[in-house]
Amino acid sequence: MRRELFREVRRQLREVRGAGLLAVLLLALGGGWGLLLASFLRWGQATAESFGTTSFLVCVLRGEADGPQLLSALEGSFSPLEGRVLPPSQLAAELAPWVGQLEGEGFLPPVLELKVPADRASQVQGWLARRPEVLLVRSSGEWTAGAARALRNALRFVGVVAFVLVLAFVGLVVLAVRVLVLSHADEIAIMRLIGAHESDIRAPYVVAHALLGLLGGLGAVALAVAVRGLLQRYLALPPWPGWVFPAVALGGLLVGALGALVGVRTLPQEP
Amino acid sequence: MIRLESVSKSYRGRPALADISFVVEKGEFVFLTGPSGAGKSTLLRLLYRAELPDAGRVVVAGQDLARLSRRQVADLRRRLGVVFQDFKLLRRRTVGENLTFVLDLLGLPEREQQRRAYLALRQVGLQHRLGALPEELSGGEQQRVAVARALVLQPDVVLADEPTGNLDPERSRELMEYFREAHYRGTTVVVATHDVSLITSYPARTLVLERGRLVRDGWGLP
Repeated sequence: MRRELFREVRRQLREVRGAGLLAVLLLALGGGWGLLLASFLRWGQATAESFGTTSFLVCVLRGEADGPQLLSALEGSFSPLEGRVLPPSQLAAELAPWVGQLEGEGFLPPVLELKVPADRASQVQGWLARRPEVLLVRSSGEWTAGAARALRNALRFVGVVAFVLVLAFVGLVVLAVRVLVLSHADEIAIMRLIGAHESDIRAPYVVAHALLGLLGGLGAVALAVAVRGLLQRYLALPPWPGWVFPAVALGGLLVGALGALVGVRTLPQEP
Repeated sequence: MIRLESVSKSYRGRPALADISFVVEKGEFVFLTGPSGAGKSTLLRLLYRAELPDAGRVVVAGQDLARLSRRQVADLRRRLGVVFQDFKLLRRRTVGENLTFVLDLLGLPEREQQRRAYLALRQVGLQHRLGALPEELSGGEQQRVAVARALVLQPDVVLADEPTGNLDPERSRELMEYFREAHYRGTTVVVATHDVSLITSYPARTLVLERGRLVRDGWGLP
């Protein structure tokens, strides 16, 4: 089955035109989402790693005079660490670029800012929390953990959406193949009567839908590249490794073939 | 080439064939005749293994048809040229593709497929309808395409079920000549027909069926 196979594949692709286009679209969306998800994951990992080794602690002090004493006590107990005391006037100056010029700085407290190794941050935070001269202590670890949790949840949602879209593609292919097989039932019976093997009958369905899968995979690559290009202005998403594009195209081809194989698993029996 | 041993077949308790036994040697030309409902088509269906007998044994080309796997049945059918009463053309394929389909199953090169399909269609006078779909042809033309498809394989056995049913006398005569040519080349030919004039015009061994029983096996009609 060579040229005959391709003639039949062409006929089938013409017959499933509407459903086929929809299936390709679903796979392109699902695959594209998946590719972007992978890129976001790598970006998230890189960002987390950049924060991973160091934590920042900020303490609100009762009085400006408590700062230097506290800092020297900390350096005695938790060396090495870096820290600085920000009196209200300096704090107001540092906040100015974000919140604008503050009218008088009387209401701002003195602040102690510390840069400590991430693995010792909770220990230092606990020590500071017990000190009477410290009113409040916050760690950057809490914020980054919260941000990482939110990112993980968002990525999980996107992952589920991508999976559902790919699953919908497979479902649509199975359905399209079943409809085709049923509408070709009389021809399948004739093909058997004139000597076709089961594999001769199944092959065009599998090849046609594997091609749809390949098209969906290529669509996914195109979509992901385009969206990454649009996002590049806002996020420095890392590029995909070179093997990813052929792998996605091949994956699409395999998913299409798999759907078709499920669809032609049972063929109409001889009358 | 074909051997039936005490073959019986019934549908819902109504006997279609009862205790049929005969042998057709390689290269023989045989008519199978009898009135409508005598069991001619059922007998042919047993020979290309569209049915299995309830009792007895059917052997074609040395193979007991009851013992064949699905794949072996397909392989056997590739050695048979069957002309079906209702033509059974592949409706989504052109006339040419109906012929090249069976040649493709044999694994012939594309060019050889095209050549053989063209020659077979020219033989039945339909080379100009190569690109037409079956539904665009008349009943007689469809029947000629079915004959061309059966003969293009150069099969070991040709089984034809009422092959002249939709044809005028002139076309019927031409068609019988194609079968005769195949027979002269050594092909075993079994033609089921209720057309008595066909049998008298082309005298050959004739098996007569009546109500599912083989009532006569002899040369021509008495």
